[in-house]
Amino acid sequence: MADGKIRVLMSKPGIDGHWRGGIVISRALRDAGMELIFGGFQNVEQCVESAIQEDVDVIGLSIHSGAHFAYVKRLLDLIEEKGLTDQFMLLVGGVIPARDFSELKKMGVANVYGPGTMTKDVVEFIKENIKK
Amino acid sequence: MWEKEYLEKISKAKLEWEEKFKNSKERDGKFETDSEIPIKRLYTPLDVKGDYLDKVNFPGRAPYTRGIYPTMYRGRVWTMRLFSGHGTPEETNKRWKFLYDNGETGFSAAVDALTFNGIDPTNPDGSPEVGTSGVPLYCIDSLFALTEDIPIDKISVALVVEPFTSAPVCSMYFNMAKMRGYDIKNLVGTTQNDILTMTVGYIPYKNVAPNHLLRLACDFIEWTVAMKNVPKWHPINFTGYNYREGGIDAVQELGFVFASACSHIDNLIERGWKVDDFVGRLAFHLAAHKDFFEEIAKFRAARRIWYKLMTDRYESKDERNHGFRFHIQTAGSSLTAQTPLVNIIRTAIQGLEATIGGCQSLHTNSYDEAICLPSEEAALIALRTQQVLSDETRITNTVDPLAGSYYVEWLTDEIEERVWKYIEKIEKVGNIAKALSTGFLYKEMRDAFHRRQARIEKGEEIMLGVNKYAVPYDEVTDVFRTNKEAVKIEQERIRKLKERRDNAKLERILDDLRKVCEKEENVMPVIMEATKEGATVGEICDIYREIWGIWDPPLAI
Amino acid sequence: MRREYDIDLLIRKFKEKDKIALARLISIIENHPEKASDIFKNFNHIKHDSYIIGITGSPGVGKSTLTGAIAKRLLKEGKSIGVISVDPTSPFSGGAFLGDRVRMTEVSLDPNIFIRSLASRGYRGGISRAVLDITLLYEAFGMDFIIIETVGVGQSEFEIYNLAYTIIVVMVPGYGDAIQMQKAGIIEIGDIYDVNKKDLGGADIAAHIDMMLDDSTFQGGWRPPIVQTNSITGDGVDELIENIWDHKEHIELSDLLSEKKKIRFAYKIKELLYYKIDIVLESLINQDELNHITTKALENKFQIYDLVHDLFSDVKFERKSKS
Repeated sequence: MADGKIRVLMSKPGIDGHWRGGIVISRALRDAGMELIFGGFQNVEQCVESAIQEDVDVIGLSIHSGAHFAYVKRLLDLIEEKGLTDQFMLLVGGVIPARDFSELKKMGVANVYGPGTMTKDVVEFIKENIKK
Repeated sequence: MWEKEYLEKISKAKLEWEEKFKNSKERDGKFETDSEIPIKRLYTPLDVKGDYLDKVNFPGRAPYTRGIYPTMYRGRVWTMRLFSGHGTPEETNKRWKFLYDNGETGFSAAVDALTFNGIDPTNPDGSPEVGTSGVPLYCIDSLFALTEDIPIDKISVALVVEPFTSAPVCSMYFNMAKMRGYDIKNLVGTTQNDILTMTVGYIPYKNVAPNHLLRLACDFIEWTVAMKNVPKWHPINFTGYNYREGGIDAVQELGFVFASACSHIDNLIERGWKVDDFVGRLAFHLAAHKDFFEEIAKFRAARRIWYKLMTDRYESKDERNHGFRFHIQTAGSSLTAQTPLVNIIRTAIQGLEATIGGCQSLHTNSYDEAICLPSEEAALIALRTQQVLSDETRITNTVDPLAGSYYVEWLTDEIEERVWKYIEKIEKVGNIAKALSTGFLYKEMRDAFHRRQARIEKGEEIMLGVNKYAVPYDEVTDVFRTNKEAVKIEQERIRKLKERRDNAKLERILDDLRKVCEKEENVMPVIMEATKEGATVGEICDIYREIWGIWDPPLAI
Repeated sequence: MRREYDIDLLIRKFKEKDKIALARLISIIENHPEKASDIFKNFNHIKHDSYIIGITGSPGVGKSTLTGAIAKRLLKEGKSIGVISVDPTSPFSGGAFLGDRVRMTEVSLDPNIFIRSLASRGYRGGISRAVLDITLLYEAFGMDFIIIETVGVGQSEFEIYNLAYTIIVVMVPGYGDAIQMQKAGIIEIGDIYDVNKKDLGGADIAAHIDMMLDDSTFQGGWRPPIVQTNSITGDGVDELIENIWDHKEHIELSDLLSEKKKIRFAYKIKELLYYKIDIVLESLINQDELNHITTKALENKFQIYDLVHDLFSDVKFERKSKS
């Protein structure tokens, strides 16, 4: 029996509909052998519940609205409330100013991907940090 | 375009030339356009087919290849219209006045994601995005604030909302104009009202199915123009720009917009209108992308295709209706967050394409747009970029200066031919609503996303700072942040409105709207009443959702 | 970041109806079938049966949206539901795109629903093994209903039908879809036919299925009804659910249900046996030997049967006495 696959939830918090980044990364992760659960638009409650039920290793948030701090904070608060701190690798991608990266990481985001990201860098980061 | 004997002479000379220089080496790599059209080393009279008067002709004359007006920019330069909005209507009003004082000649309201999707700021799913990506316009009071002290009878305003919210938002605008004492019959402006923007350009958030969106778009065209309630308004702007940004090429961009335009025209004809009742007010919004000559050829080809559609397919009799009117936006997706000042150069070159290509109106991107909404400083540079083109370069001296270029004429023909084939491919699937609901257009977009990403990752498409001379993502550029208090301000605005309005009366009007939706009648008259009485955009869109259901797009990865 | 699972702790939490524990037990069973008995032995006292519904149809007919709409009605009646959505694994990359959950966002926060997306992976014995194990976990968890949603392509997915008691075949207007499903043999397995997206028509395909049913004989006197729905507006979903109740009642009264349950386990037992034999065989015949006969076969392809026969000739299964 093959060992477990890396499972990733791709979620779009909020209502902004820029979808290219999420799709491009989803395809790249699938092509790298991961199981990609496409959550689409989800509020943070739906996102965390999906992450739980699907028992994913990684939560990827695609945010292009400029509201990244608000959504990431809500999400991490809820994860903490459920006693699941550090159980998921949280990645954030989208139109995020570089000067916000360190603050997001301090909050608990494992890595942030801005405009011009190469998909192989995301794949590598996940594979290096989640050993299956 | 030349005598046969003369062409034979050139042909012979060309063979000699090729023979003589056959050992001249060319660089490795492909020579092709952004749409992957292979390009030869050289174009000559041998490549230019057909008759000048038939295919090119004079500006203002069919088939309008050189431009839709006889004088073009010698008569009047293009409208400088920056797509702009952030925070609150009051802040946006301030930015608009700043740009107006600096020479802007048209306004364009970029609305926030809530207005786009018909969500009120009281909805917690969307509340963190109030004002973050555009101006919030949730009720009639917002429209008063947006246009305060702005002469909307003299300057045209583009409201960038799509079919799902075009009726509520634009009816608020029309009601506001009426209350301020203007006759809306004289009002000039544009509603984007583009079904593809809110389906494949972005993923819609809790919108209705494409057949309903198509109907809503056509209701708006019918009520404003065909019924002559706001006859000078451009009720739709087929916005190839938004899907081109995703990665489809120039040929697909035109294919998408023309297939979409035809579906709307067909819908209105089915309603009993004649094509000349409304078609003269249909407008387009295209991208000026990275491939300089291809984009110019694209604009020229578009004018010719539209003319042929109008005359051959729809048998329009009024020649004022045959001109392809278009707004241009420079390519946001060509901008980089790495060394963002280079974006000023990219934008300037794309602005040059648009103006050499004969656009009617132009938005130039601000250099910080890969990172955030434009700061005032960056927006001013974007406006000045247009003014350099109009006031300093003297490109406005003559009309369609690239006509007669062997390369540009050949490429214009080539693009036209490919676009016709692509329109046929879409129409085989059905009308634009069907092309959406079957997932066909989603697959086309998806393929384009991956094609472009692969090209960038392989270095086939160069983005300086990203995949060549790569530098770290820039931390230096100032980041313009939208007003954090916007959500409170907007919630308060709605609260006050709800206190003031006659809720019982409004309920009755909204009930009427339910019936109109069920019976599939034109929604505009009742929505005009509703927003006048203080209905919010969310309240109206919730009725659409209630009656027609929420549609999940057939996304493809 | 790899998580360690403590089965005993998870079982305890599972019995307290903790969804995190349910989710993790599913992962363990999915990835390590050898641990299934350690898990299931904790449930020996549980007698609860869930009613299992299978939903199948071509990609894009709206199965997931329909699953969401059915779930919404059942939740309203106070029922609990476990959903299993199966999507194919890419044979090239081993990855999978699981895009069903996105259609069920509306119901996803209800405390009485649990949704799990499953990639078909390269399971020995087919995807149905994992699916059956998850249905057992859902039953132990006390779900009233289980909905299994699959594309229904290929033999191994086909076997999922052996696991469900009521099978709904979903189609969309236009003959093409019905014909494709007829070719794939899927069209014959329905207990209920649903023509979804009825706003696009539907009378044509309904008539087509009806004609086809005229030529069929029916197990236990049940003639499959044809329902038309619009899963976006929820139109017709009540009628569909009525038909599910009718079919449920029919198979309960006619004792077809116990027959179906028997099939479900007989099938599973056979599968587990084959799985064990596979493992034994693997220990007896090594890859070098397999490579060897493959090379031989290249020399003379007509020898294949003899080569395999030879290789197997010294393998002897023996049954030890159990006493």
